[in-house]
Amino acid sequence: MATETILMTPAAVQVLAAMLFGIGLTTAVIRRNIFVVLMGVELMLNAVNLSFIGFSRTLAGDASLLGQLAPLFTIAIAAAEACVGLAMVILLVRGKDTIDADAFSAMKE
Amino acid sequence: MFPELNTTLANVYFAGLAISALCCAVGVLASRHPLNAAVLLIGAMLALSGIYALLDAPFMAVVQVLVYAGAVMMLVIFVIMVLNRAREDKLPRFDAWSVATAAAPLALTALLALTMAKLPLAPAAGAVRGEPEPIAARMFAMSGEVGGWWLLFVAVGVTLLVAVVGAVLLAKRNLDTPAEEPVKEEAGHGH
Amino acid sequence: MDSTLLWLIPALPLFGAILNGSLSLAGSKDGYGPPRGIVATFAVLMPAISFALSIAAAARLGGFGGEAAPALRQDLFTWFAGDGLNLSFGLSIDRLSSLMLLFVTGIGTLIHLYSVGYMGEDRGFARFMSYMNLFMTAMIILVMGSSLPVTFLGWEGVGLCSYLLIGFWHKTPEYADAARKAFIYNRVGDLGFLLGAFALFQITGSLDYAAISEWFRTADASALASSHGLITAACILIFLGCAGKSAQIPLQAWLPDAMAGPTPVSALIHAATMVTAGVYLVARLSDAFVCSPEAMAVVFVIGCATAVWGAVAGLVQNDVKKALAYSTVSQLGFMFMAAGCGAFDVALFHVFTHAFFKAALFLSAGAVIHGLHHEQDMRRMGGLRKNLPIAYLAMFYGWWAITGLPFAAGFFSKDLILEHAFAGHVHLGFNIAPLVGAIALVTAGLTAVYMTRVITLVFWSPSRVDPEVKAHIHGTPITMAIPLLVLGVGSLIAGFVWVGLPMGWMGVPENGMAFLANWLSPVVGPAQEVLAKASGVEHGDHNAMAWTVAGLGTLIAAFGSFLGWWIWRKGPKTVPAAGTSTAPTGFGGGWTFGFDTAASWLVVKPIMIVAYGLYWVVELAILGVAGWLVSAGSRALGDGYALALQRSRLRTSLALAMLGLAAAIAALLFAVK
Repeated sequence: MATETILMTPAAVQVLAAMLFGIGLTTAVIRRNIFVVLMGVELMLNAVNLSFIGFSRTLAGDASLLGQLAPLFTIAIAAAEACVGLAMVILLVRGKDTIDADAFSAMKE
Repeated sequence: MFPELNTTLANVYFAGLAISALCCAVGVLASRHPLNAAVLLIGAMLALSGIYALLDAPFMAVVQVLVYAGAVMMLVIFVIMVLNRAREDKLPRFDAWSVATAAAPLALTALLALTMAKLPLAPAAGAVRGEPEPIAARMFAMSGEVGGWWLLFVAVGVTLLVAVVGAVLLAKRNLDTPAEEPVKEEAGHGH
Repeated sequence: MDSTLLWLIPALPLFGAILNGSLSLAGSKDGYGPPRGIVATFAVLMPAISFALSIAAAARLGGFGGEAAPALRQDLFTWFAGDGLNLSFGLSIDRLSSLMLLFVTGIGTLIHLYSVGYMGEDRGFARFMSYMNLFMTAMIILVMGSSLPVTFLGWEGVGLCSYLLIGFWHKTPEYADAARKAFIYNRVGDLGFLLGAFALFQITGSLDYAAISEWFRTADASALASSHGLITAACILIFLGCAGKSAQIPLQAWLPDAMAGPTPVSALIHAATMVTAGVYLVARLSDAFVCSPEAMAVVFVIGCATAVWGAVAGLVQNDVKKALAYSTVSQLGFMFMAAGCGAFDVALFHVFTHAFFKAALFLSAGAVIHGLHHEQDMRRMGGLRKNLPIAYLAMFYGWWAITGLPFAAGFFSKDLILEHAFAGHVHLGFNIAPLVGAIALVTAGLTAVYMTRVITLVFWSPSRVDPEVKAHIHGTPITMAIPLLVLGVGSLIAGFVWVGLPMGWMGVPENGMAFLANWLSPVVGPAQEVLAKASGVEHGDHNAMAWTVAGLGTLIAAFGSFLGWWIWRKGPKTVPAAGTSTAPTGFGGGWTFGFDTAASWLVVKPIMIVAYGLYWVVELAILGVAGWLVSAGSRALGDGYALALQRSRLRTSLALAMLGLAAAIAALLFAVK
């Protein structure tokens, strides 16, 4: 496994992670549906995890382990964040009775 | 997970998983219904899990499926369904404005990808395979010259607990009205 | 009394000023003000103690209470040190300053006492006494200064106190204007003082009086000749300062306006003390002045012109205080005339006697004004001998002294001035002595006329006082009566410090009664010697002329008094109604306000034009446009572009943040590459 490959280079893994990150970011910025925005954020977090694990393979010893420990905590925190975020979505939707992100544009132009 | 897989197969698997991950991600971006988006996201996560396995991180692959795809996304789908609005709202996916604004994040992505592509990375010889035992040993190491993250682990647990409690409190209806009221309502209603 | 106590003399009134000032501030909230008794006690006590100390110092100089010393000097601290100038803040009392100090503190104490009665009911009494004490401090520092900067400190201080006291009732705009006028005229003079001081430093290398006198006394002819131009310039500039402070032409217009202040202020500052500071300075720098005949001529001519101008102006005034003010201007002109002839001790003698009789005249005028409930128009007075006896007595003695009738103070001092004017120490290419002497004689006659006019209109003519006011005439309280009497008597006897009558007359030994001349001779004597040598006339050797001048002077004074009484013995031609302006009109008005009008056209209007021009060009055009540009620019940026970046939609804000981040990263990347 740990041999030089044509496609599955560490750089390729990083590029994939970057692209996933970008798509997640675009989703979060463009879409009006609150849920889809949240999912974009989850996608971004996943991309970051992939980047960590991709790097852990290019490092040796302790650093390599650390590269796999960090995503563990990220997942846990992402879970907590999803929990609270969804609770807030519930509150918001209860208030304005819509899931349109643009409805919460109370800031003065 | 698959230590004896040969390189060609690994490449093929990687290509397939990568493409499916990307397609699912684009699908999340473009889906009309949030439920569709959720399911596609699960697909992306599963694909990523496979890639973790290919990258010598089996523990992470399993954790990804168990926690992320299993618990978190389930929560999201649950909430979507509970709110029951996903069907009625006819929110347009893209308006003219958003297409223009997409340029910004896409530019950032391009930059990021280009930078990453230029990085001189190579697989290291001493990379540790992410089995549960080494990871656990490292995380809970109490002695030796490197410390463990036992405290952090507990703290994360507490964070999760706090998040759950907080979420429940946030979403609770009628937080400051006394409990008797709904009883009275029913009494009135029965009149 | 030794020199370590010198600092007490100015410090005590300063303490009184601070104390009264604090009391005034502390009591400013309630309606009545701080307790009058405490304020009055400290205000009068402090100058009184200073007076006692001055007497002790003068006695010490004369040889009593210790070894006779030419001067007592105390250096308090080093003021400037370095760069060729080493100056310490020093106080010194020599014979000249002891003379000044005696009458400044003595008459000052009396006038403070008078103020207690005059200003006692005024709401701002504590503030008034505080300012008066501050004035005493400044005046004492002026005369006790051992160098030009210390004197300048006092000089400015008296100018400040003059401003504060003239505009004491500052809620009336005219009084505040008068105060500002005084201050500004003084300031113009101060410029002359400073430039003259710099010039003297350039010549002698020091600002200390002892050093300056030493330099001029011991300088050889070549040194004097080479810096002759600078010496002349320095003396003329210093005289400009004196003209400002002592109200000489062209800076005299502030003194009559200064009558807006309360009468004690007029008496103390504008009769007895501050205005004499100019004469003091000229005497102090006499060694420098005698080295420049041109400067002496300037002093002499301006003194003469001012004396004449003041006398004519005094004749046409209707307000009693203004009449006395113009009289002061005229008398100061006499003093400078004497100084210009080189007779510095005569000038100082006249300062001394003038302090007494002018203060007596002002204080009695004040008593009259006080008694008539602030009526100042002479045309509405008259016949007040029975009602205000003490004021009458004081004014009578003062009148006797100022007209130069025999044996009162003014007789001796004025005669000496006339003598020296005729003696011819001053040359302007030709011997102008007889001409100037004649002018001086005529002016003395005019003095008699206008002063007799004043006393006639106030006391000797039939009463034109409003019957209602007459019924309620205030008597003079004791605090005002004592100073009046003391000064009145002083006017009579003050002249005896120098009886300038010819020798051998009635058994008077030669120069035996010239106490003052002997007292001052160490200080101003050398300068007078220089002048005497230069013009070949021995100072004091006017035997034959003395009789003639004395006789002529007395005759003219008597004639003038008679004329004054005769013309106005029935009062003025018309008695105006109450509240009419006292300003003279017609020829008198033109004469009186001529200099004001000239100043207005030559100085004020051009400055106003420049000011308005600057206002329109700089303030409105340049600054206005610049300000508009800045504000318009910020508005465009803020309301325009910055506002465009603030979007209410969440997505937009997020997107813009992304854009910013991308730009930042790109910049970093390309910069690093």
